[in-house]
Amino acid sequence: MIEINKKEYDWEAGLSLYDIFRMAGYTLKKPSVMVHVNGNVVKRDSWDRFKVEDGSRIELVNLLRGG
Amino acid sequence: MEKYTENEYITMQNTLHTEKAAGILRKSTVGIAGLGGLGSNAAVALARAGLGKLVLVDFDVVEFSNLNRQVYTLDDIGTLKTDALAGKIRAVNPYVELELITRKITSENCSSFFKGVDVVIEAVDVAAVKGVIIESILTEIDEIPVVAASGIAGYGRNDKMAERRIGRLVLIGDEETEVSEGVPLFSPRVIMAAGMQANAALDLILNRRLK
Repeated sequence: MIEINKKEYDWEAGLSLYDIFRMAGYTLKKPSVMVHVNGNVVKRDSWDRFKVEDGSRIELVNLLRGG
Repeated sequence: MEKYTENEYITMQNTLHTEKAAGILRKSTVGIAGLGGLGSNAAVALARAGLGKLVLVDFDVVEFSNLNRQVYTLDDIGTLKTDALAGKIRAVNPYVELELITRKITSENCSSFFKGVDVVIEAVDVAAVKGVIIESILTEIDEIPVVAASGIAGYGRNDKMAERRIGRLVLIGDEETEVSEGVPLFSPRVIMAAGMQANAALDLILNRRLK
């Protein structure tokens, strides 16, 4: 079991962050989001090699234009 | 123009803000990345609140189109935002220490600008740069929290604006409303978000020290 923005999902071996984005409903492969796994930032340039472990708490934050 | 000494400011802050909180704030530093609608308004709010030092970073000059939401005035057009904002802050309180950095923020230079500050406020416009700032600070500098904003365009119900905390990231905004065709930035909601960011910065500084 994993958690994406406080909602629970089934875990399976080999889950990538791109699978996580799809599960969370994003249509872009690389959405404009900030990714935290278990409270730590996963930098955008390491998304490709990141593997999601069972029990992970993932938080996705949309980065939206405007300042 | 009236002149007041630094001691008169200190007495005023101690009287209005309590001696303990005012003392902590005078010894604290907030870094602000981006001096547009969010950053310029947050900076003035923090100067009034009695922060000892502000690190202000922006590469841009003030344009006419900034006047709909940023603190600048007609006489600032064409001058660097760092210099113009310094003028606005010194007109309120000349004793706030200012470090002005007129540079474009990149993943290579970002964390070097903010070493030693207590809190960083992310206040840029472009989404990708927001990501660079948040990532750099949270992964390259220990312990410093980042107060970022996302979803501040348009207007609408005040209770849509929220604060979410994830580790050392404090996120202000509705996380939905992006600047887009027909959804511009309006000053009330931008100033509201800037106020929420400045308020979160005070909370992070004071709650850590007063405990």
